Amino acid sequence: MKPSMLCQEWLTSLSKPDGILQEIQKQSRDSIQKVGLPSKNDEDWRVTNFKRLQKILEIPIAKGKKIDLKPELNILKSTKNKVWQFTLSPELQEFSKMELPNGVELINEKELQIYLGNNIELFKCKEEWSTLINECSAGQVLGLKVTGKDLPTLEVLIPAESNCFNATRLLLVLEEEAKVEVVQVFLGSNFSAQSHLIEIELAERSNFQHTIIALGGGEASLSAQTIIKQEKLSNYSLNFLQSGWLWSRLEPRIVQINGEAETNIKGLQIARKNEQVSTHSFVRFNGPDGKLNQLNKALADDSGHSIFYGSIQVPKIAQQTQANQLSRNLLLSKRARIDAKPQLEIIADDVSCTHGATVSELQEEELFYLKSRGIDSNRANSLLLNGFYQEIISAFPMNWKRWLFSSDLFEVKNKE
Amino acid sequence: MQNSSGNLILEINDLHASIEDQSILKGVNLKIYAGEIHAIMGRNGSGKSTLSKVIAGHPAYSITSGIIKFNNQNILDLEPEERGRAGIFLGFQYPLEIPGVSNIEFLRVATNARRQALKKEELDTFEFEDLVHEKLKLVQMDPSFLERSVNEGFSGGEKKRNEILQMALLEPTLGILDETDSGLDIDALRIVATGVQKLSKNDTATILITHYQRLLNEITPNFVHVMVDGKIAHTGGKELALKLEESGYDWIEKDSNKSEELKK
Repeated sequence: MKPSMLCQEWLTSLSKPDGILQEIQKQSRDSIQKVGLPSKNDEDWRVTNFKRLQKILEIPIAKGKKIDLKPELNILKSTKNKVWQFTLSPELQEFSKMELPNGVELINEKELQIYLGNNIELFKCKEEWSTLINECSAGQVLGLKVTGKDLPTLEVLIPAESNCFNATRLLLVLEEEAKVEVVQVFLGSNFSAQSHLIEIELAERSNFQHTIIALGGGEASLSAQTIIKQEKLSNYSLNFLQSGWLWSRLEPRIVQINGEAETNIKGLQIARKNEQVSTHSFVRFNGPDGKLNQLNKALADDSGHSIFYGSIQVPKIAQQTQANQLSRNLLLSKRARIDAKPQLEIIADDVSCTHGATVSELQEEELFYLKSRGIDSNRANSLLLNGFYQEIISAFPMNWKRWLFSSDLFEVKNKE
Repeated sequence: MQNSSGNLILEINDLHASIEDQSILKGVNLKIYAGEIHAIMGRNGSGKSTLSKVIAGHPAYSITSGIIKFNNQNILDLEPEERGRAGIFLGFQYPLEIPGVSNIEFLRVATNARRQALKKEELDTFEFEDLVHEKLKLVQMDPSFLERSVNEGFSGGEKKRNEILQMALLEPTLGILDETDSGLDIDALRIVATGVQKLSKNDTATILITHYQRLLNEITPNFVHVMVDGKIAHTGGKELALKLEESGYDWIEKDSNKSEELKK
């Protein structure tokens, strides 16, 4: 089917515009018909597997039935003081009945209208495909305002309804000096697709520790956009893992709106079998004295394909910016593929910016060293892989491994 | 399997080995019995390090002919990890830095692999900590090095101590120390040498590969071999090392060339 027809059919399968997002739904549905699907001519999409992208639109829209989570996932409910956990799904939820921890408030509908779309506007990404499919289909948005400092970790489970297209949307606003740690856990399911959009506003001197653990499974797909606006002296740290997706695309977009803020990004993406896993990050400094430290690690094995595009924009106003970006990639099979494209656009003349990308294999000498100590091949490989991941996963919350039900994260198959 | 004193631990016969079609070892013969310490000396490029790596099973080298027997078993078909578990230990000239892999985890996995081969019970993390702290004293190493990544940011001396610590934990039957003395100051050399001496038993054997007499002042070898062009050209006692220190290698190379010509 032609992409334009596919889009049309997909739109007709969506429920009628309704609720607080209905205006957004109407506008985006008009736009997607004009814009259509991305193509090879769009630089940011050039190496994407378009067949898989189209397949997403063939998956029926989730009807919002309740998703039964594996019981292990609810473990933390008993430790309420440290972790406040909730599940976000296409199921229509009455957010006003949610019990929230002290220091977190629900943003009411009127206020939501003020915040929604601000960050999208800043990045002018309203007509980006990742934004459009979410705005066309998400039926509700959960908006939370964080006013406190001493809060439990907010753990947001975002499971997928099997064989369905699931759209979810979040808005988080941190007031001045607020501090919070948020862990988002995406759990794919057989032939599911997920579209997620989160907008985050960080006021002055606020601090946001953000972890995204995105675990696919089966033939699942994920498009997740995180759009962050940072005020002066705010601190935003994003640590993420993407693994096990037939197709996934994570798009962190961050703007330091008046400079003088700090951004740290550490990402790990793993592409095995025939998976295509990608990260497209955009960081823009709209004022002086901003800082960015970014490390993206990727592993591609079997026929896996890992993509990293990292764009950093330092306009003239952003003097004294310090930005470091490094993409480190491990290629474990001849059939695997890695595309890494760090992209630094600097107009300001008084800045300190570095970027780089490396692609390597597991080092024979390191393997020999471990093996000469009696450590077998599989264990030696997994020690080295663990070593490669360590820089990233050491920043994850302590008990993050409980999400890894059947992951082969640390395995390397014996190569001929 | 434990050797009684005097058992033949290592036997190398007419060993030829090459790397990327370049012949490096050209007929090495060597026998080492339990309780012995052998020093192997020679100029750079004479094949000393290659010999040590070939014994440990480095995959980059191909054996073109000859045999290596360890405890009377041909080991040429064994993988490096099988050789390690069987009791061959190679102390690296340049120990590798492995970022992200915790030293204590590496040491524990290696120790348990060896213990499994010796049919001893594996150690849990607590039992292993007790053991490793006891062995640390032998090399006077700060326990903080256990928590760091393997050799990452270690000084030359610290890396070599970490090698001897591994040897202490793995209790090999054959320890091969490839230029363990290089890059060590005199205090570190003494600590390493004392460690090696304490680990040498009646049922174990040690090969010291070195350029310098000074290590042999600390550890007295039973035999000193000199390698020239991929072969052991001369064998003697400790006095040979002293003579080399005084007169260099020229006279051995001349002798070696003469005997090659006579053979022709």
